[in-house]
Amino acid sequence: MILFALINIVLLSISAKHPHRYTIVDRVVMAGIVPFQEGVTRTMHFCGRMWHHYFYLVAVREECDRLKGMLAKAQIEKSRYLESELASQRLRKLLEMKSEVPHRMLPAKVVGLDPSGWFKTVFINKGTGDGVSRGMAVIASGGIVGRIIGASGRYAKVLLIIDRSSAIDALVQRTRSRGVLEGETSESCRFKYVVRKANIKIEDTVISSGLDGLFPKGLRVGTISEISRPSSGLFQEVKVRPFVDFTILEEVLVILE
Amino acid sequence: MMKVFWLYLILGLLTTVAQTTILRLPLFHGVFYDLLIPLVVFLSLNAPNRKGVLVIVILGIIMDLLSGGIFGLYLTIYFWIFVSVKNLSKSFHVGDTIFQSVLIGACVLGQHLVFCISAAAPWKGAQLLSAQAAPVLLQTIFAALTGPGILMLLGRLHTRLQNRSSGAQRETGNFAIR
Repeated sequence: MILFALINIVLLSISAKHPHRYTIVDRVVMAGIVPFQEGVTRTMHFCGRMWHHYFYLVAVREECDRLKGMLAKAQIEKSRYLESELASQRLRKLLEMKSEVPHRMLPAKVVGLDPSGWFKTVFINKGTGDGVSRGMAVIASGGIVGRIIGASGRYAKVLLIIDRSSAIDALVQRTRSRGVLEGETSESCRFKYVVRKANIKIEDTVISSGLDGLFPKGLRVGTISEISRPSSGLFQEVKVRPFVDFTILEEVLVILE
Repeated sequence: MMKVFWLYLILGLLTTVAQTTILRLPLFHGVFYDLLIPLVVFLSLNAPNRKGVLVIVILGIIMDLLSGGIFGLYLTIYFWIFVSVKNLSKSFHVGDTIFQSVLIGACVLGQHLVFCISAAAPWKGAQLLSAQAAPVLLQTIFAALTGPGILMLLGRLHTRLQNRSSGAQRETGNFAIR
C-alpha cells in the first residue's frame, strides 16, 4: 500500500512538471467521449429549451386559464354586485314609496307574465296566505301598477293598468280635472271623459282620485303625453304615459288596506 | 300509450311555463308565437281522439288561468284547431312541409284574430289589430318557418317512444294494455 502511494506521488510529480501535455491518448479519448458529451449536452439543452418553451408555456397556459377563470369569477361577482346595487336602489325607492303612502303594504316579486301579448297581467309571489285578496291595489316605485284580480294561497294575478279591461278613476294633479283612465297599449293609457273646458297640458301629472274605491287617492299614475280636442263632442281625447315601465317590472307593493 | 300522454302533458306544461317567463323577456319581445299550437296540431294528427282532447283541454284551461283574457279563449282555440286539423287531415296530405307551414301559420294568425276580437269591441278591433300588426305578422311568419320543424321533432319523439313502449310490451308479452 505504501509502495502504491509512493508510486502515485511520483507519477503525479512527473505529471505536474509537464502540465497541458496533449498526447495521442488525449486525442483518442477526446474523439471517443466528447461526441457523446456533446450529444448529452445538446439533449440537455434541448430538454432545457423544451422545458422553458413548451412545458413552461403549458404552465403559462395553465396560469392564463386560471387567471381567465378568476377574471370570469370577478366579472360574475361584479355583475352580482351591480345587480344587488340596482335591486337595492329599486327597493329603496319602494321603501320611500311605502313611507309616503299611509297604508299597510306588502312587497312582492313579479314571477310570471301573461302568455299572450294581448292581455296585460302579471303574477306575483304573494297570495291569500299573505293577506292578499281580489281588488287590492298594486303599486311600484313609479306609481300605480294595477289591481289583484285573482289570488291563490301563494300567488296572485295582477291586472295592469295598461290592459284594455282596466279602468281607474283619476284626476289631473294641477287642475283637478277628473276622468277615467283606461288601458290602451303597452305604452299608454286613454284618459277618458275629460271635459273640453278642462285646462290640461302635456306633461301634467295624473293621479288616482280615490273615488273608485280601489286605489287610494293621490297615487301617481302617469303624465299626459297627447291631447286632442275634436271639433265636436263633450270631451277631450287624452293619452297618458304611465310612470311605471311595465317591461322591466320586478318588485311591487300590494296595498293591503 | 299512457306514457305518451304524460309526455305531451309535461311537454305542454313546460312550454306553458317557458311562455310565461323566459319567452316573455324583452329580448324575445313579439317574436315567439304560442308554442302550444304546433303541439295541438301534432296531437290532432297523431294522438287518439280522447287522449288528444284530454291533453289540449288541460293545457287550454291552464293557459286560460294564466292569461288575463276571457276564460275559455285558449281552450276554444285549441279545441277548434284540434277538430279542424283532424278534419283537414282526412282531405289533405298533411305530411307535406309546405302544408304544415301554412297550417301552423294560419292557426297562429287565427289565434291572434280571436284575441283581437275578444280584447276590443268589434268597431275597435281593426284599430287594435293595426297597432299589433307588426308582432302578429312576425309571429305568423316565424310560426310558418319553424312550425314544420317542431312537428318533425315531435314526430321523432313520438315514434321513439312508441317503439320503446311496444318493445317493452313485446318483452313482457302484455299486448292487452295497448
